Amino acid sequence: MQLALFLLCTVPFWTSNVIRMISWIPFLGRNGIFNQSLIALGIVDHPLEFLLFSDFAVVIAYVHLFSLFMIVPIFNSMARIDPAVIEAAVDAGAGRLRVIGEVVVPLSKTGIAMGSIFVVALVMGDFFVVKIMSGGQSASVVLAMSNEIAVLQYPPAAASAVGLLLVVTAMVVGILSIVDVRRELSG
Amino acid sequence: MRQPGSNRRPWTFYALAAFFALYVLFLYGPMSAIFILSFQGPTGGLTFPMVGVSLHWFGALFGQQRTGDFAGSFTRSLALAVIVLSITVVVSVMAGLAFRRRFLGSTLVFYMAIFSLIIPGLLLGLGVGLMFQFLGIKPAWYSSALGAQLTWTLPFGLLIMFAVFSRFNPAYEEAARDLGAGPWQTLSNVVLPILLPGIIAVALFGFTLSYDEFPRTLIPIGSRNTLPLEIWAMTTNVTSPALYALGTVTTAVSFVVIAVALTSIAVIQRRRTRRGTQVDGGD
Amino acid sequence: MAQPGEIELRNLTKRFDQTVAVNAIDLAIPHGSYCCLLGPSGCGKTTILRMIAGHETPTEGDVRIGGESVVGFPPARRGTAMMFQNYALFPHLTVLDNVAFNLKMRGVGKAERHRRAREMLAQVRLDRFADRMPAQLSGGQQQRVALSRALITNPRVLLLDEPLSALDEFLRLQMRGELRRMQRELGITFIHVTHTQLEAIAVADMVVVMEQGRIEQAASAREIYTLPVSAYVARFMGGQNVLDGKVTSVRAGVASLVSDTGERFSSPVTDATVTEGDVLHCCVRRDRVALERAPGHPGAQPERANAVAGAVHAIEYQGSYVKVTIDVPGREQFVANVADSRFFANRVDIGDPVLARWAPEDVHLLTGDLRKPARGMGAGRPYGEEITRENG
Repeated sequence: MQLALFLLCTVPFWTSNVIRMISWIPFLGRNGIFNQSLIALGIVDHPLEFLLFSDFAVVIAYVHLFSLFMIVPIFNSMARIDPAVIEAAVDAGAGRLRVIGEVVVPLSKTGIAMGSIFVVALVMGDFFVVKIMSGGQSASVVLAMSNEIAVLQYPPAAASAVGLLLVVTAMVVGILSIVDVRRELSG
Repeated sequence: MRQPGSNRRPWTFYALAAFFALYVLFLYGPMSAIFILSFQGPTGGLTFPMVGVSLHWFGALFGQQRTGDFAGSFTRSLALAVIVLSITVVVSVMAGLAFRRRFLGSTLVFYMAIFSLIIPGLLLGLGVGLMFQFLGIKPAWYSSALGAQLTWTLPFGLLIMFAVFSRFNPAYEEAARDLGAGPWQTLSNVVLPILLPGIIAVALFGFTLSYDEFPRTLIPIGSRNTLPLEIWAMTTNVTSPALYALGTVTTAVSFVVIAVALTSIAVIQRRRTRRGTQVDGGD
Repeated sequence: MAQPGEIELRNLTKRFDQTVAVNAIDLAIPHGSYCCLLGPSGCGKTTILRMIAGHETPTEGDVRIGGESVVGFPPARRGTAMMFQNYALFPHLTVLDNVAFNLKMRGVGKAERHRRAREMLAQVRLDRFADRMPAQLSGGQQQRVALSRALITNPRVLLLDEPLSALDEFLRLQMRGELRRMQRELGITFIHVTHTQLEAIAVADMVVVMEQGRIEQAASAREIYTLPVSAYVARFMGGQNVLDGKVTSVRAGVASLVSDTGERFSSPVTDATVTEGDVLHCCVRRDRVALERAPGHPGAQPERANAVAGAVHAIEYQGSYVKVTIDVPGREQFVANVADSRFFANRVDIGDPVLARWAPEDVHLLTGDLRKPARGMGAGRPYGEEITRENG
């Protein structure tokens, strides 16, 4: 059961990212499934415009594309939690929310940190989601870079690259200083 | 949080289950739209409603004039993915074996591998592209793009091998040595067969990471595109459901590869636990 | 000429970083004997086994098998075979291929090695499981496969690392008898590592009691149990009460002693030179202690010698005898194993004041402690409190 649910989560991630991203276009578009359902249900009377080609669409697409990279490390951490620990917390009088807050989340810390590293690196390195999903309304460093490269402006692109690299490195070093990834992996 | 045997589940179970159901809907909803629209009739457009049902757009994929070099980029992508898979498996297994002991500079090598994983993809592609330009080598999918993809698949493979080896009991190796196996015999008769499911997982990762790789490959690819780059190009200039048909086809290929890999892992695991006749009761 | 299965350890030492796992050990194990290395976890017993097997290299010292130094030899050239803790059966191979593994490594053809592996399995009545995977077998069956896999190499020494620890109690008792019988039949040397006292004395010709990388005592099982050399061995083996006292007089090979808390008792000292004022450690077997009700308040000094007074702390029924633990003020607990008929003829209850007494000739002097600086009353560590260090 657990494995089946896990596979259910992972299957979409084995397909092309570009395809998965553009799949939002017919879904969120003005005449998309979502808007038409809303109209059919009588919730709104004209299509919502902010759904596609907006910051909202960018965030949706990122979550859709990259959430697996958070799920897998956290799944791995949680799988190592001894169920007896949770039972002990319940025996000690912790409510369900307290169990999650005081036991499960702290014990999943490494997974959360690892997932954060992956997601930060992926989002910071992306430009095609921003380009397509924002409809040209949002910008990101990497998108600017890719435009510079497209017009063969390598020096400014390289300069942005170094800046971006420093930022990402700083973020990852920050996360790594909280958890010893190597020890967690081999331990 | 599941408590087998207790018949009343805590309310958090239902809350989390509902959240999970929403997430699955979120994952699959848009994808299903694409699959349905790829069977759009010949006169249909990029959005709903469906105008009849046909395989017209799948046929259109192979007519080069309209949709670009689908067949060529597809075979290139497959070939590249297989090369990446092979190199990743060999190097990851060897590196995994090496990292079981602390050697001089092992921490440095490890963090360099992690670093290579987190460098934003486009930067890395840019770096590889510039390097090839600097060296005066013409970039191509089998050289510069291969290198750019390996910077991404090798650290992933190494991390998986770390996890695999952490569950490997060194007593197996000692038992093999005790029974007269030399180092190579131990590796080929004991270590590699026991690790086989993990090695297949590395291969699977290597393949899919390469097959879908986009930002790293974009710059150093040279003149002939891989499939994701071809799709990317199409998103800007193809405005027909052929795009969705392409999505459906590439997805199908991914699924076939995964199915083969997972089935082989399952077969190996089953052979280990369920060969022979029925298991008798306890002692 | 040394016999093939004779083992000699000379000044054997193993250090891991700062920790000394095995500290300059000398030991000779005769050919064809069943030897148990016994001690709490972290005492170095497994490390010794692994150095004999060739899975660990000694920091100093020598391992000799059959009169020949084997340090630096690969395991297969030593003529030893090891049965691993939890057996380490190869999970990807069938039972038959596990047993045939050594033959395969030596280049024996498939038909021949399978024939011989089947013969081996038939001896342990597992031939009908030959095509199973190890994960499909019960613990006891796995143990027999591991044994067959080790014995097919025709070893002169079989090394067993906690061979019974993965089995349940019933099977453990059955298998230890089986191991002993097998050792007799094969006539080779068995070295068996365990932390269970009763297991060691049940099977072994020779028991080696270890503590913190050193040998406390190496002797026959009966000697270890009845004539321990030190308070550590006496406490660890469990059948004894340890007494300490200062010598007040020595006459005709018998020393009179008085403890810190004032109890008087005597101990034979024929094989040791002691003088007045020495502090001696002695022990008296639990099953040689008689109990009687003592009127008056618990803890009062007993009138007579060779007795301690206290209050009953716990009563555990053991079938043929009853284990009565007594709290004695100012010293460690005293235990009397009272025969079941005698106990029920004259029952005591928890909290009752009792007098535990024994005959002077049942006292055994712990000569090993004479060499060491005297430890204070009850200062010797009971074995349950040993520092648990990772068993290298």
